[in-house]
Amino acid sequence: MNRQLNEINLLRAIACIAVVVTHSITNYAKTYEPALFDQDKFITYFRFALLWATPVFVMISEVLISKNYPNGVRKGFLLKRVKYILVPYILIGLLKSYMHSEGQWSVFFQRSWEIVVLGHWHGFFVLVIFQFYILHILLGRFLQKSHPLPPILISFVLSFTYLYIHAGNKEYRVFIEQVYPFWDRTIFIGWLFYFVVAFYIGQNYERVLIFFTKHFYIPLITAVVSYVMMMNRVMDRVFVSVKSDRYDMLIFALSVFILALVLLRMIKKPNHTLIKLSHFSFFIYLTHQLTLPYLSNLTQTVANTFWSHVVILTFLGLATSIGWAMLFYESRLTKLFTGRIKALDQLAR
Amino acid sequence: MIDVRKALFGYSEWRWIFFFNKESWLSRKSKNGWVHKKRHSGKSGMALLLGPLFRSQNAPDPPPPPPTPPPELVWEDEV
Repeated sequence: MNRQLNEINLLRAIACIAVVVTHSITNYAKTYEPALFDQDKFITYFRFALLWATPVFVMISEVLISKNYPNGVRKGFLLKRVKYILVPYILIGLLKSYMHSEGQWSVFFQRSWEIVVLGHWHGFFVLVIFQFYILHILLGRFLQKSHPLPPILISFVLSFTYLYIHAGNKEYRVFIEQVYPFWDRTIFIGWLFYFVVAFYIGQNYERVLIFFTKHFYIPLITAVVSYVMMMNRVMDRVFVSVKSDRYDMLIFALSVFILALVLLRMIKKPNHTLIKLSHFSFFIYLTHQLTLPYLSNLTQTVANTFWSHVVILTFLGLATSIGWAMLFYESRLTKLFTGRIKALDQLAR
Repeated sequence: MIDVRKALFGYSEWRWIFFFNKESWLSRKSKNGWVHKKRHSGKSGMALLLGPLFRSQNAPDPPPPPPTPPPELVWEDEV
């Protein structure tokens, strides 16, 4: 195991668990309808504290590419990712479309168009990652030559402005829907800041981590301050969307990302469970939302508190996706659904 | 001798640029006898423009807007 990548693997696994936990909370809230602004507001605080997970997952992708291919990507880079990332996205998307098709072909085709092509489902992050691949190929050389500060500042202004106007202006949302055919959450401008920052972190990985290990209070303070600011907006009911692409999430997610890398680097002994989980993370991201609503109904029969519901549902969600992946990995045909899972390749050897 | 203040403000149609409504200090001074005819509506142009900010004390309060329920959390991950 590459020591340098240990913390990234751990963080990917933790981000994956965080995503399943957040969606378990959503299912709990939909079932029990707790008072999220009154006596049960700790749920809201907890839920928003985990929203960094998807931006972190997306940043990890770009950090690894930027770190592993500092002077441009290899031949066949995109093709490999189409095979291992885009094909599972399409197949799981078709499966979700079928689940929501009410057994009718016309509805199935309609859903497939919305989900697979337009990205209108929780797998939308794959379209974001693919835009990152293309941005990396197009802008990599330019960003490499440039001083990091101007691109980081410009991308922050662009992402923040886009997300801010999008959140507050209905006419703008209608305009975006008219000019951008895909789901508006997939548009790269909203994620551009993460891309640029992750690019530079990947290029200067060691230097960045050494700097923030020495000055760990910087991401700690920015994480706390940005979280408090975000929660103020939520609890004042100014901006109540429970989603990761919020304008007040940009600094929070980045701070948690850096802080987590610094802290996880201090763990000397690799945690094999988390590393294995990290290998399954992509498939878990893609599939857990397909089963969670059903598993939530099952969890209701054994859990009677918020914490027991969320813990049991998270465990069931993770276990179901992992079990599903292990079975699918057995055949060459069904392997297309999972993409490459390193832990299972190692198991087969 | 020309009363400059009277010439500038007293009978000028532009008076509303400087004073928002009849409760202004100019109106209070009018009791001393150097100002002018009353406006027909009792409200200057600026008062109409900036009504909510500088509402005349004589004007009745507008009816309160109907109560709207506070927004609830929007779960955007359930798609």
